[in-house]
Amino acid sequence: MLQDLISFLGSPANWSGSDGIPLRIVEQLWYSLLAVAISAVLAVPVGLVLGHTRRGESLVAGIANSVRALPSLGLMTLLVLLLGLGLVPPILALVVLGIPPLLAGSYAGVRNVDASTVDGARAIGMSEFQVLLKAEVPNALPLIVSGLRNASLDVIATATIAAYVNLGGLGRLIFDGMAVYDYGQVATGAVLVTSLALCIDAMLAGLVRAVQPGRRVRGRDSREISLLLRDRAGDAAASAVTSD
Amino acid sequence: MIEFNHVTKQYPDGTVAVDNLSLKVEKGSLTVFVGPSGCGKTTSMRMVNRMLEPTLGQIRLDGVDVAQGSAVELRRGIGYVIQNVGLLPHRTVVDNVATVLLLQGVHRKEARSRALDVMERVGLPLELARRFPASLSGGQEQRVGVARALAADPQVMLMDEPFSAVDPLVREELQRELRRLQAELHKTIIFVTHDMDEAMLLGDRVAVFGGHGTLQQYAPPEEILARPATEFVESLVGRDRGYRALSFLDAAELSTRPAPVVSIADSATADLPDSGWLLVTTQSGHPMGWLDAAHQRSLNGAEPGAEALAPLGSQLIAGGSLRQALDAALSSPSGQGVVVNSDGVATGVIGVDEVAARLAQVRAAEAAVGANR
Repeated sequence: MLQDLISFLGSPANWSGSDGIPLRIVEQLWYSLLAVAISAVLAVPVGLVLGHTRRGESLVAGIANSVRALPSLGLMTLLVLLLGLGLVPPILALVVLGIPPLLAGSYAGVRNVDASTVDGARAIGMSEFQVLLKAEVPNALPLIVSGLRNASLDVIATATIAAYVNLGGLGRLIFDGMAVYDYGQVATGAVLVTSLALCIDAMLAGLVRAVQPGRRVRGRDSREISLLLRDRAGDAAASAVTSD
Repeated sequence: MIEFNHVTKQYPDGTVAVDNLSLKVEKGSLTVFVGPSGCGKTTSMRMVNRMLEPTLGQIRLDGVDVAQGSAVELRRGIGYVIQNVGLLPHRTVVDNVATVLLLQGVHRKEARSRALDVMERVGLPLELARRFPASLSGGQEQRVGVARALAADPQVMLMDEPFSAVDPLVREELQRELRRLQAELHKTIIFVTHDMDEAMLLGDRVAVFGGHGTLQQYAPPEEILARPATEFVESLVGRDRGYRALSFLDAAELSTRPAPVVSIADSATADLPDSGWLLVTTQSGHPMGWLDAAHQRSLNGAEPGAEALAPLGSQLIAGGSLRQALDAALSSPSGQGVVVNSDGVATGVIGVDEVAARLAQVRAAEAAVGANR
């Protein structure tokens, strides 16, 4: 099995052409990107607004749980029967998969921002939109990005099913390999999907850390504050000289 | 000036939080709203900047009904400080202080520069400018909160239990700082607290709230202590009332006795005075502790360590009140309260007798004034 895997990976023929591994990886990433982007556009604004109004907790939990229970392969097959073959059914199935973690992440992110931070922001004269944009979202980013990370992991892994309805992606290796009993090819597909998902997951884990609020001052801000402080120190020194 | 005209706040469940409140806060004065939790003091304050809307009645700011115009604009013109500070965790200290200026459309560089001015004014080291709120101590964080409220130079400030979450030492420091700032800036301030001592210390006038948002008494602190208007106020100020009233009497006229000071180097061999206690100081005259005969003998001529000295107790700092003087006398192991000047150098001692004598003088003077009326 391992030998089959190595020999499949080692064969230069499998690394080029319209059914080569690189193209399959690009297809897999393209389907995933498309699906996660659409999920985010649909789920994040709703999550943010519900979190801001601090309402709809049961709605969010309900959507997240019920949608999570839908089997993606079954949903996609149903959509193919309704809409015919093409890119739309698998992407829709993946969008449905991506929505719950993004919705839950953005809702929980905003909901969990310290109540006194929000109260303070409102009390010093931020409009509701400014409260959301300037106080809540920046501090909700770690959880929003965590939601993105979970959605991406699920979607990249599941995008394999696109091949089931005659599309590309790494699922091609798995379904085609199964058809001809080429387990080296099947194993290659499985290993590549897993590696790809883990790579993207690691990158997004890095992003989660990078968006932690109050970690470090942005370079431009730091320079500007330094300049102001230096001017001030200069002024103080100058006035000390003149007063002597 | 802030005016409450027959303001009532009733919640949808029927709870009356504030019941027909009418009072005026004079321009440039600090009014404390004090009372037990649930008495409507915070609710009343939050109606001023429309964080809550009154059910009935009207609140006027310099004659203008606050309900006119936009709540957001109103809030930008009113400084606001809350117990949990509520800074923005993702912004640096200087940008937190600059928040209101930025909201008002001041250019960023200008806003930051003015924020640094305000930080200096409230005693925040400028090195903190690029730090984030999470790395500040409780006291520093609360100063940043005050700086943020002051940054846009509002005429009115609302402060909701701003000092109750910090430890007592820091709280005293912040209270002193607020008094100093208020003496300079003359803002119109509503300050909410449940701490009667804090109310008495800070307020030009104190509004005592009772259950269900009823105003019990609105008067200067001295008057509240001397003549509580209702049984409720009396029960609130009742305990330690006489002692608290001493806070309003200056200790400057107190006659002090010379302190039995000895510098630490000579303390092992110095003669004890009749009282049996020596006040040991550093070479520069800063008091360290009290030494009695038994401990002096056990030194055998060696310089005393910290364990040989009895603790000083509280000290009366020049400019303090009779309350501090009495506390110094009571808390000192020798019965002699240490008086220090603003540099912390011992200048004398006082006993309970001196405080009592001074109090008798004050009473006699008051009686004379009363008789002349």
